[in-house]
Amino acid sequence: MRLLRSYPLLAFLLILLSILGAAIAQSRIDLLVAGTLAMMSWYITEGPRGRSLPKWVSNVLVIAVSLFAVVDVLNHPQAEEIFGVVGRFCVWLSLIKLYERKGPRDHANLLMLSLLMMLSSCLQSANLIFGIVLLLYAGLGIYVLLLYQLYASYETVRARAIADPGQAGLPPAVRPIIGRGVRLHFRMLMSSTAVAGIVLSVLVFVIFPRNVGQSLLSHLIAPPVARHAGFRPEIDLLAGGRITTSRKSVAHLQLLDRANQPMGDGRSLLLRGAVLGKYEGGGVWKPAPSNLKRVETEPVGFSPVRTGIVVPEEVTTFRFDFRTGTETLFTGYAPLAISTGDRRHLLYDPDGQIIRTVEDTGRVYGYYLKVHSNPDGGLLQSMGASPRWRRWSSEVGFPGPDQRYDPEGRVRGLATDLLTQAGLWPPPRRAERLQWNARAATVLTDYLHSGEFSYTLDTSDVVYRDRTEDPIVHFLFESKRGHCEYFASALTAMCHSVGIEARIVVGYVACAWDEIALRYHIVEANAHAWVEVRTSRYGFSEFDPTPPSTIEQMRSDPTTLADRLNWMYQSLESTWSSNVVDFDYGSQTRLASALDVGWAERLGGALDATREWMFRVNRAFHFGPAGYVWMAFVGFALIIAVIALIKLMRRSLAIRRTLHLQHLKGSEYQRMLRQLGFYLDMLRVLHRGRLGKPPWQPPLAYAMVIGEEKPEVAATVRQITDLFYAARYGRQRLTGPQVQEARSLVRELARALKVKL
Amino acid sequence: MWDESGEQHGLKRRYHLHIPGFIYVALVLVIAVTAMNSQNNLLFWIFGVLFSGLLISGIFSGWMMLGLRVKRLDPEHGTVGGALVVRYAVTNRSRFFPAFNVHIEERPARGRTSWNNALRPGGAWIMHIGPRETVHGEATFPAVRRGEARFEKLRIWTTFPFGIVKKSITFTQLQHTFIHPRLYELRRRVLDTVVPHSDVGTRISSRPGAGDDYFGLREYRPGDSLRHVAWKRTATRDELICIERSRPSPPRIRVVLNLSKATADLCGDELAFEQARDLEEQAISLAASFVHLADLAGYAVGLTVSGGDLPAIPVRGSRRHRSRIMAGLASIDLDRARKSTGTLPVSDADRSAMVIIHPHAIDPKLGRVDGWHLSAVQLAALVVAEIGRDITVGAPAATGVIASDRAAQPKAEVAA
Repeated sequence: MRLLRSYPLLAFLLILLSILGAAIAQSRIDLLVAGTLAMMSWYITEGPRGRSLPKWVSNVLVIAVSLFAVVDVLNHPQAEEIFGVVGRFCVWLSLIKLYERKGPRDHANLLMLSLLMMLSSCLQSANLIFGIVLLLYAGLGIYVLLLYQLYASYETVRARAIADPGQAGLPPAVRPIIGRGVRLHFRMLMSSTAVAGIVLSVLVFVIFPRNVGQSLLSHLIAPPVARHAGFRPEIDLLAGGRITTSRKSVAHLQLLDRANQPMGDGRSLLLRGAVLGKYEGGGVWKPAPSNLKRVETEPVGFSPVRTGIVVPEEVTTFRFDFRTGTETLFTGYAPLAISTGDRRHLLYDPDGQIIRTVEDTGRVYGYYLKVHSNPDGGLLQSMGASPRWRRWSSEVGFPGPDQRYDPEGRVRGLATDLLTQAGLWPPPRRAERLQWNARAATVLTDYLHSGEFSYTLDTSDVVYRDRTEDPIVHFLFESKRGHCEYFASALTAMCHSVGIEARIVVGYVACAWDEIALRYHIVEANAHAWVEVRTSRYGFSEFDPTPPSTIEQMRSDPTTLADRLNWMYQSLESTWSSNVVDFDYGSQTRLASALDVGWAERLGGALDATREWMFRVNRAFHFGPAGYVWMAFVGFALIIAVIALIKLMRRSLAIRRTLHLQHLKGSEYQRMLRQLGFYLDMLRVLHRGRLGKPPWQPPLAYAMVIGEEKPEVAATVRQITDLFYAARYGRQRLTGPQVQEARSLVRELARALKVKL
Repeated sequence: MWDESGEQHGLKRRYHLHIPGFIYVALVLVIAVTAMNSQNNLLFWIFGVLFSGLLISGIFSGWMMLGLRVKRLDPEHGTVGGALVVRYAVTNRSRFFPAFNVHIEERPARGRTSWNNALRPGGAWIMHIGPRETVHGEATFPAVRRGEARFEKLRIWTTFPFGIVKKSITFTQLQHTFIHPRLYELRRRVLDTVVPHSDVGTRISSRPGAGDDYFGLREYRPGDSLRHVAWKRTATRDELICIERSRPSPPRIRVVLNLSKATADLCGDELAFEQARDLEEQAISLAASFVHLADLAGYAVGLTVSGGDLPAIPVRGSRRHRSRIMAGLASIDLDRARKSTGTLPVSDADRSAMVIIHPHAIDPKLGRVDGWHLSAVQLAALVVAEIGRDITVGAPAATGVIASDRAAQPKAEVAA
């Protein structure tokens, strides 16, 4: 009964947990208020006075909440927000239900509402706190669901008893019929259910095919709104509202001097991973089309990125060690030659001056790179850099003259205003244009560095007017909050709007300097985006519009307790994000390759080893071809022996269990095992003849019952039973002929009953 | 029959996907589609949890039910208006798995005597059965009609652990019992009126027993009380002599139920078939109530059904005998052809009072001349309350006393 009594409280906690989950997912104060009201409902409905809402009041409230939901839908017409509306509707509906008088059906409704709340919350949030609530909900949910089955049955039986009173006209007392140890058994069953559930759910989670059916209901379902920091070879400003910083280690970078000795002073280094020059609208930047060149590396020595490059001696060597390998080979500006320590094909982009692997040729775990930090025009020309002035409006231009993404020309207006204020507008003639580019980019960068813009990783609360509103325009004129990708996009957009050739570069900023090992430690949180502006015929200069304090923050280690706690939280959130929220097809593939330890190869190897062993044995004994026949015979005999041994052991166990020989020991036990098998055979024969022996019946009584039911076999059964009694209880040692006779009687019995022995 | 390991034959296992299960499966499918569409990993995980719930529900309930065996214990009789309580012994033969939330229900049997013709459905619920444990559950079936109740198949089922899949095992176990006619508490003086009293004296039994009257003398037997020793007689002989008492002889009454007319013959202008059938049932109930009252008062009772197949039951007084009479009354099939008996084959040597109960009109030729004739029409006047019904919630309240009731039965008076 204590078990059943605990149900209402646990179910109430489950509802509270789901309301808390909805409040966290939607970050709304009104849901927290709803949670508080829900907490109060326990005292009001289950407390000493035990009051509940009258039915008509709850009906009126349900109608009111439904109307409120309709208004909510009208206020939030976007498909992404529908789930928020559903979640809020479920919260208020649950609140009303909590204040009602509750029967088993109401409890079922509440459980279903809580599940809906969690489902809608899953579509709205993926942060760690919600994840913890979700895990708690799942664990408690299993327990409550198990308990609900018992509770609902009990309440149904009780209601039936009340509706149909007994002879005295009073409802009979209903007490659940329980065996011994009900609570222990229930908890054990719950634990095993939970373990099985966790294992199976993780298995389903891992093997469920990703990237299938993505466009079934795309206009209805919103994507998850969280991602973790890390390098990606493109930018999508609308991809996630909140970026969690990840302290997951990516690589170590060491700078080597001419004598291959570690060098460096810990200054920040920008490591280029991808160059994004093409804006596709909607906050998406992709690499501009370029003419990729193949680079072949050798096991020994450096391979120049272009043939004919003369690598100066004063260049610095970058030595990278990646923990999990990489397909993008990060470089400094500008890479001249590379060594991967093996023979492989790479792709070199002469315009962007980046290097990456050819698809499906595997990841690179370490490489050396010769980098010239200040290349002149001739060197860049020999590296294949293009001097062309691109047609911004048609290919890569952001708002440009046709102003596709900024119809009102606000970005261009802002940029020209800033340049006019700096005395840099209108632009000079073409001959002085490159120097002007640098000065103008500096002015625009300074504008973004001004206190008007703030850096944040959480843009989940940014709301756009409609789908056509460009996120860069929104950043520059509305929100003025964002992370490095927003700043880089804004600067590039402003540059493009006034005709400056600029591009976004994404990669890492190496800023964590290890003074003992003399190397940089690069983590995922060091992912960064900045801008390159053409300032010479072949070359670009770096401009970082992100507030400099951000980089300083990256450099500083956690010092105070709050910092450390924050760091730990971020680390946990990163683990949650990378292992759960961002588990995708690539993760599945990597996991599959990690788990593939070559079972087919191992099996093949074992067969080969067996064959080799047989060959050696055969050769050692000089058996010739007949040796293989002999070994096959021996192997077959061994298998037969093992099978016989197993059967013998099973028979011994059956005799011991059926004839209750457990308490016997020594020679007497052995004798009975040897001699009393015939009685077991008889029981089996009778069982097959549908005359099975109940366990409680003594052998003699059983023989008498058989005699009544099947008189034709009565004598045989009686003889066998007498022999059994003599040996089992009379301590009589049966002779060989007696045992043979008993066995023949069993055979005779089988024939009489027409069953197999 | 049971096999070597106690296996019960004739059982049938089955999975049912009931409405909650369908809803659950639909929900799982919706979540799967949503997860695929949004590629939301939390939804993938929730889908995994729900899907594993489906599997676990099927597997665990299957394992749980695998070791369960149930045996219906011999059911007692029931009475119309009361309830038949059937007890079940449920054994969990599993070594490790407990069983939870086990429901037991009876399945309708074949034929006219199936229990559900006489009883409203009921069920037993057992919350927990530990491994290798036997517990007893009981189901209450409200009895609504007199007759034989035959039980054939019983089913145990559970929806544990998640209520998604319903797993059941059906056992076959043939048993039957009787639902006795509805009993009424008759007025106190009905019996006193019907049975003759001291004017004619009470009989002395011709058999020895434990009564108070002298029966004879006999030699002492070990175990006899010293109080029974006849000391004067003993003094004249060289052995102990004991006084033997006669067996007590309670008043005797024979109830005669007149069912010689078929129901259709009872019908007239003012009596429809259903009303006639109701009167016959009331007549049976009245007979049963007489038997019950007489048994309570310590009388010996016998039963004769005129027009039925039931052989006359001799006049006896014991609990078992009472059950026999009640079973006889319960087994009367009113749809069968009636035997036309001109005179009642009741010997005067019966030496018992006689009450003849008719469904409608009284036939004075039936029974002995000193018999009391009652009609089912008079039931309301003879009855105080229905036995088993709460008197505070409205059994038909009767008024008057038996003296005034006698005025309401002129035919009976004439017969007397």
